[in-house]
Amino acid sequence: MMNVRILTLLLVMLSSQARADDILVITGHDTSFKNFSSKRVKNIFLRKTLLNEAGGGWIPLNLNADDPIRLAFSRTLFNLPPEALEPYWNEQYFQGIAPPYVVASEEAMLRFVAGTRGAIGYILPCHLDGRVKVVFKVTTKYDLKLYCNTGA
Amino acid sequence: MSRRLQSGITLLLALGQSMWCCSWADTSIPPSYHWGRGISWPDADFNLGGYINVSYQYPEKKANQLKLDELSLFLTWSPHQRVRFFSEVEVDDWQSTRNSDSFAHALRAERLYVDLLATEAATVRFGKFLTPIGRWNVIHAAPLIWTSTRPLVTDEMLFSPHINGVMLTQRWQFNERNLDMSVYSDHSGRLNVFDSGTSGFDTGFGGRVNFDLSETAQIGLSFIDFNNEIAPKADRNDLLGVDFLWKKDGYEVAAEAIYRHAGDSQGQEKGLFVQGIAPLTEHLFGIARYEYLIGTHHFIDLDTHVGVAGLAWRPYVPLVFKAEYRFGSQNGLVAPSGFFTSISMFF
Repeated sequence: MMNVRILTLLLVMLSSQARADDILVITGHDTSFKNFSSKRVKNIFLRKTLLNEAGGGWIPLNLNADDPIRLAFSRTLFNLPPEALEPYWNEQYFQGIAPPYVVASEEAMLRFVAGTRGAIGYILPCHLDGRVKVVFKVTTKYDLKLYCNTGA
Repeated sequence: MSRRLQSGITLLLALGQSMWCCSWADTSIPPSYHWGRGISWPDADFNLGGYINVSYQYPEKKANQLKLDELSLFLTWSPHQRVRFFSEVEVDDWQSTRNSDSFAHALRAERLYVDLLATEAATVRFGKFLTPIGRWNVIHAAPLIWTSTRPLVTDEMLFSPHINGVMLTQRWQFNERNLDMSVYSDHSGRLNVFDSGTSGFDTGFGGRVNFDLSETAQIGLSFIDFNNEIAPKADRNDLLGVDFLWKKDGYEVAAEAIYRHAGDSQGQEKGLFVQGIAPLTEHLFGIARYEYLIGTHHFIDLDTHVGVAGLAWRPYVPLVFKAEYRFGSQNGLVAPSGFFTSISMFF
């Protein structure tokens, strides 16, 4: 019985690995972004880095805390679910730093990023279009393709 | 929240927005209030919030008291992408069942500074801000910390909690780890116009280094050379500190150690605290802390051991209920044994 359980768990993990999907970090075409690294992206979304190289302000965006793409982004980039970052944001609130603004959908994310200099967000590859540019790719271990059918 | 208060806040936000038409951020996110995150007004990069802390103290051999410890208001405003104003105005120890202070005397500017973002990794801060020695002092707000009582080695009897001056902070990255370094200069004797007390520094200069050892652990080193406003002609003090923090899955270990030295009767002292946190349920945490302080502490010889055992219940992110028992040896003067409890909340 125990062997069957272990085998099932391994199969689930393997199938999840095989269907692993990316999340694209996006900015507007007029926002500069150099020195690609996950730490740099982390610092921007944790609001430890407030300015970009060109001297403009970063405006990071998040999806709702229960959005599966936000969950995958947070778990992959920070190794933590969004709610586990709340104590960090409590500390930042005391230092006068607010968490990223939250938008309701990937389409809202695309519109905001495309129209706002310094805005930076994330979407699934299937929702990418010419309004934005991809500056970083977060490779997750999650199967996110099913969220492509729901529209941006 | 009552409907009247909610509509009042909405009206204030709408009025504010109409007065303030333009900003560097071309956002279309409407103003909003979130419990524990304040009123946010994205178009002006403006935020108004704060916290409240009420405590009940029952120290042995002393009178008990119910106290409004802090009522604090934060205001953050960024009129330009390179400029950030921050102020924290606080009513400190205002109302108590033992004695009450006048509102005017209890009111003070806890912090008041402007950050100039020089580059993406360098910031220059001018004004009144928290002394960056260890971690506890810079995150001392009641909703952030785990106990109602404060460790002795972070107490203002050892060093002033505030700097009035200028600080430069630079961040580097090594192997995906942040290294933050700050250097600062204090001239509280001349610049601290917001506090009538004399327990602060007269002048000082110092620095701090903080390094991410891993995703879950950080280590910090602090140094300050200072003299006190109350005795500006006495020998200067040198204070060295080291601190450590590890956090994972709700567990936490924090430690701070200090060594202070002056050549005259101010003497020297050294001490530390080690604190562990363990989640008991999803929202309930157990806390254990050990503290030690030895030396000449404000002209009194001490060899003090303190233990703290307590619970913290965090039913919601901005709200915490705390209860603890403090005990020790030779601690009656600086950290009396007894029962301490408090309720604190970000709003």
